[in-house]
Amino acid sequence: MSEFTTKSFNGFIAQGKLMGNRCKKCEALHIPPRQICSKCGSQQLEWYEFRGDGALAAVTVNRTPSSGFKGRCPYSVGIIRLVEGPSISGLMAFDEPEKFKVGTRVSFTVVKDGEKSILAFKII
Amino acid sequence: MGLNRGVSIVGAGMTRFHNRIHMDKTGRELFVEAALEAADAVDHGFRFRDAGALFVGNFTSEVFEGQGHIAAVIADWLGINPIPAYRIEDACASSGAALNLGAMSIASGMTDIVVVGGVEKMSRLNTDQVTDALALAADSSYETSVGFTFPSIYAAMASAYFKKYNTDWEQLAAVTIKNHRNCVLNPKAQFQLDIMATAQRMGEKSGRIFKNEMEFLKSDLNPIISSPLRLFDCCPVSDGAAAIILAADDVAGRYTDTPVKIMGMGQASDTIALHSRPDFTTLRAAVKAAEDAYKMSGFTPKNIQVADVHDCFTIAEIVATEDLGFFPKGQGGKSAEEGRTALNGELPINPDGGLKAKGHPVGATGVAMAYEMFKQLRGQAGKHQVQGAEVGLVHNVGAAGASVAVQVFRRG
Ligand SMILES: [Zn+2]
Repeated sequence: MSEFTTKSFNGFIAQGKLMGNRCKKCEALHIPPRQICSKCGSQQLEWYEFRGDGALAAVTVNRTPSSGFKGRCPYSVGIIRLVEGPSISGLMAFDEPEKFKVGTRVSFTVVKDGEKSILAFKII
Repeated sequence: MGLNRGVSIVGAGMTRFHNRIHMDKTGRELFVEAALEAADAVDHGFRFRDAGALFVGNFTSEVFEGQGHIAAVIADWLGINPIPAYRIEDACASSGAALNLGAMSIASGMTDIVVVGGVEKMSRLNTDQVTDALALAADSSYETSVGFTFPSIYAAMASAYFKKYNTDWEQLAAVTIKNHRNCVLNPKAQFQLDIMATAQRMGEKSGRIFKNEMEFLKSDLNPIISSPLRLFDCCPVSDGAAAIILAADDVAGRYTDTPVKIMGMGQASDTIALHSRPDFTTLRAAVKAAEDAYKMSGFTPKNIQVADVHDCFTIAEIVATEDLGFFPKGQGGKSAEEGRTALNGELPINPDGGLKAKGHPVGATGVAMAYEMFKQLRGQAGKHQVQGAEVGLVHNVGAAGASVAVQVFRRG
């Protein structure tokens, strides 16, 4: 299996998989994957595929983006509490940005940006 | 835990914070100006050569002005070589962290006197470039990669806060109005207009008259940056430097009869990404750093008479006043609305105008807060003096709370 790196995580995103890891000692789930369990300190970790659905816990419509997101402005970006428990940041896609509110149920998707695959979510 | 040897501030100085007036100066030049003012503020006189070490807080002089190795540059320009010169980087908490380390170096016995300061020269870049530079303080692999910027992370925090406590943007506006009222009284502040005067000036240009502050703040002249945060919810881009001189309590009497003593200090880290935290409406690192600082000082939140907190965005001031134990969770915004944190309120917060209106040259901010306490607790804060203040607190946050430094001070 691949190492627990940003490169591996992004490789999985490009394949449409939302992968984190699970601690074999204390069963804590991590996304993105970590090298050391932040709950118990164990290095005994294994890949874990998240279902990819959850609800928005925090969200904003950004009108002053960084240079890489200029073309999308305005866009919604937020933090999703996944059904498994952990949260992850993502770009909100395929709907008007104002439609994404705290509590909105969303699921994992991928937005292609040239060579890059951006971790994104769409309304269920 | 505590310091094995007491440490006090014996002098403090800062440049004015501003986005234009320092255009033709470099960071090192701004630092020297602040340090010279700090030396002048030492009652019985001070020479830089008395210092045994230099601590410089700076976020990213590499990006902002194409200069690395900034502590050595500044030691050189202060004319104090050879000296241990350290550059400390904890994003916007860089100089708050430098202050803690400077005090620890004195407490360790390695030296009796240190110069601690911070500097950021941001105005050479345009707004888009500054947005990119500040985003470096967030998680570039997992936050900025999906479209988050520094303002939008705090905006997301605000969305969670509003939902949890069933409040809205108007509470944020109360912080803007209050901090702009204070900046008018502080000649070092970047902004010198309160919101009503700002509304008149900006309204004149487009032939509009605003009846009150809220009408202006809700108008298109206060555009949304990242919802719900509008322009006047965000600190400006600033150039500036601040410096303080720390002395061991056993030698401080050589320099002044009225030192400002560090009673307690704390520093804590948290996850770099906001999404990895269980609650987006509190900064755990602030709670921990404050807990440690209170414990060391022997004071509680009730003893604090004036505080400078890290209001890089208005929501941050509301969360800070709760994290520091001044108000119950969910009550920070209401307290601002009710005037309890105003200059004449029960606990004045950011009497100098805060980051919002005083300005926020990121690496300089933590020491600029200590400068404010040096003035306040010695009764030298001029028009924004909090009458009779003897105990004060500062709270300096790195990015979205992945680093926080807190200090509690008392008039010596
Ligand atoms: Zn574990």
